[in-house]
Amino acid sequence: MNKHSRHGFTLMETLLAIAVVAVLLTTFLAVFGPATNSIRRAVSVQDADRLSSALEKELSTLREDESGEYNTAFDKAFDWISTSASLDSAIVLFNYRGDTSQITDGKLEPFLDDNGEPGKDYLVQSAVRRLGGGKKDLEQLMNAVEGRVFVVRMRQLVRDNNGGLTAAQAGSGLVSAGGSGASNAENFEDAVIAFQADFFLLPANSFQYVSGPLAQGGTDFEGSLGEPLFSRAMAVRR
Amino acid sequence: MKINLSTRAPRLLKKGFTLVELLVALAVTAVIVAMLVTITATALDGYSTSRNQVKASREAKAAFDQMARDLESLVVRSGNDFEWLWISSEQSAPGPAGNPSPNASRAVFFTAATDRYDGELNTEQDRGGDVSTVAYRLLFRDPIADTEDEEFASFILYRQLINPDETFENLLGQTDLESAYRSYEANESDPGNFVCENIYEFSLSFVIEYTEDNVTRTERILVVNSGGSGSAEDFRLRGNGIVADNDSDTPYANGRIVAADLSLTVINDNALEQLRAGSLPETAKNRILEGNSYYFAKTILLPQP
Repeated sequence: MNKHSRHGFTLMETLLAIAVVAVLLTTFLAVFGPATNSIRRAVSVQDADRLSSALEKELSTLREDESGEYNTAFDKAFDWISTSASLDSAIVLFNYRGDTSQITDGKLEPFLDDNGEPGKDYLVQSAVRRLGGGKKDLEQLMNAVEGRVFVVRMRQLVRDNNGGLTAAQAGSGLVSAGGSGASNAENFEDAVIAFQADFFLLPANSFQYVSGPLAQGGTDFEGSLGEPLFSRAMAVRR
Repeated sequence: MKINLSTRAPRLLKKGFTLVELLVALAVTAVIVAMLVTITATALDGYSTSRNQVKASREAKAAFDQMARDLESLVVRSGNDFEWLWISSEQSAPGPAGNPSPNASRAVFFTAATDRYDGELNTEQDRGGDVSTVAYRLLFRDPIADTEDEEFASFILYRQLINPDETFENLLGQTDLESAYRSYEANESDPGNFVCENIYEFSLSFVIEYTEDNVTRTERILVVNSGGSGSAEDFRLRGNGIVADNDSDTPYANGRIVAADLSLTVINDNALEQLRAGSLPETAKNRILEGNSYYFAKTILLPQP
């Protein structure tokens, strides 16, 4: 000991000190890291919450280019809800930059130029699209995404044994309140579909990921995207 | 080595550290300080990024929540030629000298607001009626002193509510809502009308459904200063149809407004500071805004008759 105190620190002591500092820093970072993550998550929840009104509107609107596929907006809502529990036909929600000078069928075309002013050259708009179906415009749109992309799974809310509402398991068709199943909107007895929308955060804003690896995920949303950010009960009516 | 050490030891003690020892100590200190600085810088950076993001999100939420409440209870009576809604894009946009907002909308419409008469409903303050006028406007002002002093000015979104009694007397049933509203304009920037700040751009667009040759079509009208055929600088809803840029003969004039889309660009204090500093070249300005802007959009479904 005496010799040590006269010769300064040994290598071991220095290493020990550095190790202690390193441990302290790692704990500090470990405490701080999740904090920024949870802030980002909280902000994403607010974004998704805003986008839910766009989903509501989309389900009650029949666009001109969809009128060949569906007769009414309710037909479309029925189809979208009954198939959205699979990752290849789920719904994606996001904000994108829309070109103010190009509007087709009530939708702004994506603005892909890097140089532009909001409110002049582009406006940030909400987009709701269904995955799959070979629609080309999603690829274009995803190049102009502003913020995060959310994947939405919709499951019908049905009465359980206790009289409460629970989200039905993913399957084909919906069940009316009377208990009879329906595979399309014409056979469906009710005027309202109550459903639970689960919002998942897409890890990367990439069309390649959405159309490739993600679409192969089947019905396993949690396995591909993690736990949902939040869930919300909504309804569409005839 | 051992001999060396023992013979040197007494000399070391007397003369202090050798150059090599000092260098090693300096190197170790440098490494530790560098690590600390990097980590602190990252942490501070992350902190300010998160704080700006949360702040922008909060400003946008304040604006959207308020406007959603008002627009969802929009009051329109059809079958007359009165104006019920007037939206326009400012001709001289607010902002610091040389750096005006790219698009600032103003909106005046009627709504069943629950905060009429300061929320003192069914008391002496309540002078009857339930249709109020609300006006939204983006101004570049000092929100506390209510002056145009640029040093403290910011992009402020104001909401003015005009109580049902005055609305009934002066604003309801007017064929020109704009000129009827002019006399209330001066009170817009009252500090009590403050909604949120740092709103650099505020635009509205409307989704209109109309029937043409038995086909239901959707038209989107942007209320902006620039843009193509689908945009208007001045948008009015009359009891007998839609008027865009004084044209009441558009194909969608008799359509119904299904939804309103709001877009907001919120900037942080850093960008505001730079915009205040004076006119900037276009590319430099865009670069600053690119890194310090937050974009928000919300669809609001309008009540259907």
